[in-house]
Amino acid sequence: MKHAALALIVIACLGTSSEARRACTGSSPTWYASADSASVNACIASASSGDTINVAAGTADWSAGGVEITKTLTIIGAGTGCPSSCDNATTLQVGSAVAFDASADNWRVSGFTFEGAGASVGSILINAGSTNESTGWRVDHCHFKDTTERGISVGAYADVGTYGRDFPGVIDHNRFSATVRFKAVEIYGGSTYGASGEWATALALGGASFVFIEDNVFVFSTMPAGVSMIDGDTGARVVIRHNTITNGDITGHGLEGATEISGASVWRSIHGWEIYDNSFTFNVANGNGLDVWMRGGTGVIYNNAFAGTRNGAISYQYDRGDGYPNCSQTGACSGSSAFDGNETGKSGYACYMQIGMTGTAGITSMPAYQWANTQGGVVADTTLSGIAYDAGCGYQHVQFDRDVYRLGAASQDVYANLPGTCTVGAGYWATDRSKLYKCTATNTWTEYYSAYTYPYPGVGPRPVSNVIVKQPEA
Amino acid sequence: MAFVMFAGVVKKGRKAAINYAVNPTTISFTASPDHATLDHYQSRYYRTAGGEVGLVSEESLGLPTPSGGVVSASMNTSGITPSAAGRYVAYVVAVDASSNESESAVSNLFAVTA
Repeated sequence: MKHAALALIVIACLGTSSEARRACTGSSPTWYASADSASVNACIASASSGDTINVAAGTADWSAGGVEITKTLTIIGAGTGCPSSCDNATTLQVGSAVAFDASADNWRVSGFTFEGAGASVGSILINAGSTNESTGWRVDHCHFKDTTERGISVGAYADVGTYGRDFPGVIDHNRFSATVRFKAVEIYGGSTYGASGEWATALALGGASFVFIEDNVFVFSTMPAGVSMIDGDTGARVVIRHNTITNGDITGHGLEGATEISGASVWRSIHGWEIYDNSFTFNVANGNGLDVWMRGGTGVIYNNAFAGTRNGAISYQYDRGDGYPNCSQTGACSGSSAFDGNETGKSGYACYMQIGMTGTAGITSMPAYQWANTQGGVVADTTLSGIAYDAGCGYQHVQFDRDVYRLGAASQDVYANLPGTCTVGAGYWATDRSKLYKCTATNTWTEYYSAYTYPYPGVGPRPVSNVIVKQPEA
Repeated sequence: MAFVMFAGVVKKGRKAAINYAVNPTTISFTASPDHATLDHYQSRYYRTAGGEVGLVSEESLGLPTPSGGVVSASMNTSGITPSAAGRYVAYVVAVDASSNESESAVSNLFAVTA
């Protein structure tokens, strides 16, 4: 009888109990949640900024909605093995919901598997296009599995005329895998209607003020035409480095097809990009036709290895010729738009925020540089890259040795062999210093670029727990 | 695990018994989820008495194989000057092959005596 009564009490307490599953235990600074969103949300509500929430192994349905990260929190799932072999220990079945909607600074999400289609704005959404700026965040050792929509949005579309500026932050050691290549990461910069947004802030290549995407694995089986694997827009600044990519592509948007949002055009080209030390393997054709497809801004592309099916590996493009005049705010770059440089005889060049430009007005020359990229193990920059342009404008707005420099073998050597003469704009990669020198005046070389600290500072292994020191047994 | 009981002030106006390990010889912890990719673990010992917090000693623990997810390693406290008033805590740092590291939460208190 006692046992029966006890059983009833237990059933009363636990039996029906979604409450029982909504388990959040612990106290500041360390909390423990089960894998369901209600438990994680309960811990977030109880936690103080700086706390850690450890989420247990398990599979939970998060399709009805996820959680918001509004504090500086470290939220750690039980998953291990990513990026090479994720064990998916804590799997969140996201359906079409956003799992983590983050607007705080200095947060971290690690050790989760996001399984399912994902939301159109990502399983992880950083700042939702508000005027907030989320910095110091990290997404690591997660698995974005069988996503068909988007993995992570850094900033996002919103029905307001402003995008947030959500960097610096780092996305590292994650695995993105699916049959069909999806938009694993989209990065927006900062942009405001009527202003230049992120373009108004000086671009310092090699600096910290970027979204860093490093040491991730991307694996897809097919690449139909459509979204690219990594996409940057509206003044985004991104460093893509040391990733292993199978059947995935990268793009940076230009000003083409500018979008009206609530009557305000806030679209801008991507601003800064550094793409290096990545390994690309292709065994299917890319429906987009181009594997690194940059359409605005400036940066560096080097030491990438391409293997397998050629898809016109690196392409520079700008689409505001008079055959593409649908850019509602700025019109075509054909000599009559006040947004452009409008040099004589150059059909509007320099075009607003085109390849090889920077500055608030988007028409200050800052050429892009490319070197030491290989195809099948052979350095082949001159044949790896090309320029696509709207022939309708009668003028090629992006040109090599003006807007983009491809460094040949003679321009990559030890510092001691830096040539005594140079023409303005030329580049030289000092292999023993890992620094790019730029010819800033006739016969004058100036140190121009070196990579930001790798790995990203603070990116390390996940810590141990439950440290106990013991004295000898008596 | 055996502890020696000391009386310590834990909050103004209240006293409670606090467990200290005395002259500990072993440090244990739940392995990093990234254990397989690590180079080694590092222990760091901090003095906490008198309101001071300072690193007094650290040592490499190597990369012992976890048992049931728990790593145990011998402690070397020779770098800690024995002090009756000394109270210490330990942290364990996971270090990967690229020398990236992450530090644990604090251990239980311990003392080192002459």
